[in-house]
Amino acid sequence: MLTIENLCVRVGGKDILQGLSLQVNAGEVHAIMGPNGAGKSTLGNVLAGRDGYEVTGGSVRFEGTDLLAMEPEARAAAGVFLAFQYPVEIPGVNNTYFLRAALNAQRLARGEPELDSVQFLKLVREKLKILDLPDALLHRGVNEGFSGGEKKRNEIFQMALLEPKLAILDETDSGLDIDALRQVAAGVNAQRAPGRSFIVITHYQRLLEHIRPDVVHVLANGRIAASGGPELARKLEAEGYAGLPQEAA
Amino acid sequence: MGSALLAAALREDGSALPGAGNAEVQAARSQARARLQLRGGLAHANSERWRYMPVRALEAQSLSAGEAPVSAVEPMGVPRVAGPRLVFADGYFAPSMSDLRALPPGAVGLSLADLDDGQWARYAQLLQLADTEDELDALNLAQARGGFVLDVSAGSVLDAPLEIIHVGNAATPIATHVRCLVRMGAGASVTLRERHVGGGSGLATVSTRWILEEGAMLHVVQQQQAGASLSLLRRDEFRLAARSTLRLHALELGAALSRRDLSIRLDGEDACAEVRQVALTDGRQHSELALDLRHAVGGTRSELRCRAVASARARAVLHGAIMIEAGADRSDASLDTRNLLLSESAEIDVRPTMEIHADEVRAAHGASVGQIDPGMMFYLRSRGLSQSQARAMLVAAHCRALLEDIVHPVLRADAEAALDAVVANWPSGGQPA
Repeated sequence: MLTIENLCVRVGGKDILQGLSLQVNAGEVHAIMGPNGAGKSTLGNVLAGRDGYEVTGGSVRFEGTDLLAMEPEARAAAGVFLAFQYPVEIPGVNNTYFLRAALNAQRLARGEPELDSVQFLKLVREKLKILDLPDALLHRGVNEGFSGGEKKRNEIFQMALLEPKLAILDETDSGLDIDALRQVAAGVNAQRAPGRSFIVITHYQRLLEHIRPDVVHVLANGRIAASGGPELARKLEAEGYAGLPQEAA
Repeated sequence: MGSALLAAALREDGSALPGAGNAEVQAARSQARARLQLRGGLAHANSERWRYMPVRALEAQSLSAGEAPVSAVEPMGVPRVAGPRLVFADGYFAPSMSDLRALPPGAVGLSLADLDDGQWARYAQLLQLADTEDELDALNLAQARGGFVLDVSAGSVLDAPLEIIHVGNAATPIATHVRCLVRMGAGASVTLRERHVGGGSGLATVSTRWILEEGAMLHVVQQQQAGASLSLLRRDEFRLAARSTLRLHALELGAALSRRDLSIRLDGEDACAEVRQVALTDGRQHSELALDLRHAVGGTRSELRCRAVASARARAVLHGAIMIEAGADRSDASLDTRNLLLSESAEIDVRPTMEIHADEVRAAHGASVGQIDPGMMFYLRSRGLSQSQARAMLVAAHCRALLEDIVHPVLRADAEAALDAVVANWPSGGQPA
């Protein structure tokens, strides 16, 4: 589904990703761990198409298409979703209005019929249950006045609604208490499907106890330094990143 | 004198205008013409209050007064709403399109053309010239053909709301001048919407005196969606007595050139004025708010919030003064203006001043000009919205914040819909033309 080869990315004149390669197959959950500054969030932002990230080498193919050549909205329509580490507050843009416009823009781009407001609200109700989000949040501005946990749950709610093929969760666990973490994880697990892949970016192994990854990667110095099964995450939790092979640390 | 516009005004002797048989009216019109002749133009070339305006281009227009249109309103795209309404088509009062039967007892609506001598005397404020350094009001008085008086007696409530519609319809450029008076007795309460719609080109001026007696409460929504070739100059002069309240929501969306002279005078204790103005400009539009707000006595309050958006080669201007006069102690004035500049060729000029001559006042002002937050843009686009959709959503949100406190649900929904429609249909999508 996603093939990243030798990706090099520069941000603000500094080389952050330096030859990152990664293969994610349909239905797989990949965890990306690593110390601060390793380039974890850069990877998420580059895949979603944020400005200010200069790709200096390598390629990213998503279902055979050059992902880096696409506008952010085209990536979204193709099925890429980024759950933001810091979801933006957008006062004045009503959450429901925004979500319906986004969903219909994606459907239109894929040649699917738009949902009318009745169909949309039915879908929303269905997905809200999964995240245990109060109805009232829908009537507020996007993320406006949401608590940290509500913002993260809202990201997962959007993911559930938009049903992407590839979801990138950028430190979705940061700032969550244990109950919120469980809810978010349950929301993600409910979305696991044979055709849907996840890249779960996290600092800590904690989230991975609730979302079982197929593969765990350690990102250090802008490239994948080690890969393994879930046991790698536990090892890192016990020994820290200092225990990584020297050339990778 | 080099001004085709004024030359035409000076040729007009008032004999074909409302009040032609009334000596007071004729004297006032004559005095207005004298002011125009003396000045020789709309404003001095070095007038600070007119420095942003293309005055000479305006004055160079040679415009006829046009004729009263005969077509009905509906074909001109004005939706009919329940409640009383007054329609002016190309500056003429249009009785067949108006409906004042729904005015409640205690409220009187009169067309300028129908005023008798007694009424001209009673509504003499119509004939007073504004005390300004420009002659816009003189031009309007000299040539006003249409207009109305709304007289709401003490304690009467008009919340239907009253709809005032100015429709542009003429195929050729014309000059139209409308002059109005709204008088509210003590404790009266009025909700009113005034709209500029349709096509039309040339120049339109509207000059309205709003008089609020003790404890009166006025809520006005002004929705300007005038034709894209029109120059619209409005003057609104509010006088507020003790404990009266003005809430004004102004939405500037249309016209090639739009200037609003907003004069508010808080004349009585605890008088309060809340103004919200939204101006959206695109292409080569020019939208200007010239402010003159005075706290004349103590314990008065004013709160102005303005948001302008300029894209392509458009220009949005806010200037003028809030003055707290000597003795107006314990007054509370605030001005907040936040603006969005969407293209390199657009311009936003914000130059408010505050003059304080009293003690123990609270005065706050803030102004900002910025661009759309790239983080918000990316967030919306990452969910599938196109760049233009995302921009429209963010611009509308920026402006909509000022429409939230329109109490009347239909008026609020209409204003929001008008805003969304304009932003969604910006021909240049906010980029330089």
